[in-house]
Amino acid sequence: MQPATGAALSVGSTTAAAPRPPSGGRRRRRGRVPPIWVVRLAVIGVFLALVELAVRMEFLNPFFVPRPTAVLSRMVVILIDVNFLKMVGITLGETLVGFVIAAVSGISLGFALWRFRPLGDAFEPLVAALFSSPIVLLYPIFLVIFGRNPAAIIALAAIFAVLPTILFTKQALGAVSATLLNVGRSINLSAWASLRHIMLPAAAPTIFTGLRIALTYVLIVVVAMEYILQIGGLGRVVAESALLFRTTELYVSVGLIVVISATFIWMINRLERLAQR
Amino acid sequence: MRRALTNLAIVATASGAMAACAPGDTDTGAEGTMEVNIAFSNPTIFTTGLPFYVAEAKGFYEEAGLQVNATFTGGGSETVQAVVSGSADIGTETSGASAVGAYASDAPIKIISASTTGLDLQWFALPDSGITDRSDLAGKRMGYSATGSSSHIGVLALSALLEDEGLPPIQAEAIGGPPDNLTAVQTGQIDAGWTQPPFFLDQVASGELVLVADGSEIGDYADVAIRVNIGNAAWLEENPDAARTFLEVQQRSWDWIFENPEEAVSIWREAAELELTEEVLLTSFDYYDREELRIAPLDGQDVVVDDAVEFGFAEEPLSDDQMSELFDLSYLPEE
Repeated sequence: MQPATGAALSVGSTTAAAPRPPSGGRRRRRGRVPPIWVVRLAVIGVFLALVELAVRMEFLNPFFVPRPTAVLSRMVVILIDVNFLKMVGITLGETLVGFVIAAVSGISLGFALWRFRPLGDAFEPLVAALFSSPIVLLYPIFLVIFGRNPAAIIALAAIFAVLPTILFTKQALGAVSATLLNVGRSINLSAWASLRHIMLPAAAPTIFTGLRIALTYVLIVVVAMEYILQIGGLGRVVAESALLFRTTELYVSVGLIVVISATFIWMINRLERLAQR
Repeated sequence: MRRALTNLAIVATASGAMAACAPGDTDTGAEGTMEVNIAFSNPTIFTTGLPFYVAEAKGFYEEAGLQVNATFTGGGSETVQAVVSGSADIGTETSGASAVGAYASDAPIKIISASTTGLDLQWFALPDSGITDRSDLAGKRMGYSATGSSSHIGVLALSALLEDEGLPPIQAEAIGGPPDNLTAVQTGQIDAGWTQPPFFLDQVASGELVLVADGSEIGDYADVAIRVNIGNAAWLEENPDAARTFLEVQQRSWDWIFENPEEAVSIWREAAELELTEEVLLTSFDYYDREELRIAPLDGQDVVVDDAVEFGFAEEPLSDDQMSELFDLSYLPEE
């Protein structure tokens, strides 16, 4: 039911403006509540300050938890190291390629399952079952097929991530309100125009939910496989840092993976807004 | 950003949990037994699993008042990690270089004895790979068990040797134990894998595999303790008797193994669920002598430290004080 609600809101917003609160009220609320990014930074800052204090006061063993200031200063040094940047580039590349493959093929297959109903009825339960199975454990087979190289990692990540994309795309298209489609027909919209101006904006929120899940899976699988196989980028750096007891580098790498994840999610949110226009 | 916060919280919680895993006193059972948790890799291998299985089967631990619990790791630094985190009190048969690297990063560990002296590794390839000897390995993909393991050190040393000869370096890849390396070689993931006698010697004899390099070809490791036994510093301080008793049993097990090879092989085959015949397993004794598996003296300490520096496990050589703190042989049994 979510997609229909989202669609109605999305399409409705282009035709009828929702009543806005008095502008003075908005200003008053803004005056009292700090911007959300300030709250986020403040919470993170307080957390890191507490960790710094705990390490300095030896409540936390610096062998396991380095000082956040040491991690940040090390991060500055590492981020201008060409070899490290290559590792970051490998992880980014694998993630992007895996995600694009999963997104394009997932949306296409989801569309096909929605468009051809018998096909959808036949395969949707199967895709759902695969989605909840630990496909990642098939990695030895991928190594045999693709070799011990980034192609194996990308293929595994893409296959894992294509499943939620298929499911969410099919559900999103199937949940578009018939009323909206009838309105389109009544004003003689072409199939393309109907897709562009009704289907896509209405289905976008749910499709993008699938894409966000897909992106998360791609990044997790890429980093996990890099870690396990010790090939590739940041996952390998994390593994080697852990095995060589370089705790600061370990936290720098994990921190960068978190930053990459947050950046990708931010980008996909921006893309969603563009698609809904 | 919520995701970022969540991830940070997870990392911090995990770290806190690790930090809280400080080793404590050895549990003493109702009948006065001392509990020792040990970690080692590849339990099917002669030098790693055999003394443990024999000590258990022959009741040596029980007689000495020990209750020994074993955890298996991927080898090398993974064994060191288990000891550093307190998951294990003692790590057996781990590479000295990984222990030096951990110590140089302030890990609370000590090297308490030798375990294997000399580089007992061999590397194999498929007959149609075109690899016939050491020089053919230049630029090729070779497997090792885990970062910081003796097989890792062996590949790095082999690569350095090839580079000295003006040949391209080896592409070393963490694959796992000998069975994993065999699979990786057979499926073309790597060009050559590592093993220890007697694994795959029957396949070499039948022509399915070819041996392409041997540890004895690399430098002079004959009198170097390539693998050592380590202990958690805090646990050792609190439980010196348990550590000493464990090493005594280790020594007793090896003595018994070399005095009773047939029975030892039988225990090994059954406990490790090996498919190799006892005849093949017995050939292990052609490759090892008792002296190589001594716990003392611990020879080649300088080479171990030099390797740790050369291969990137430690940034700089250890001072004399650090050497004497790390190589703490006070837990060795008295002669």
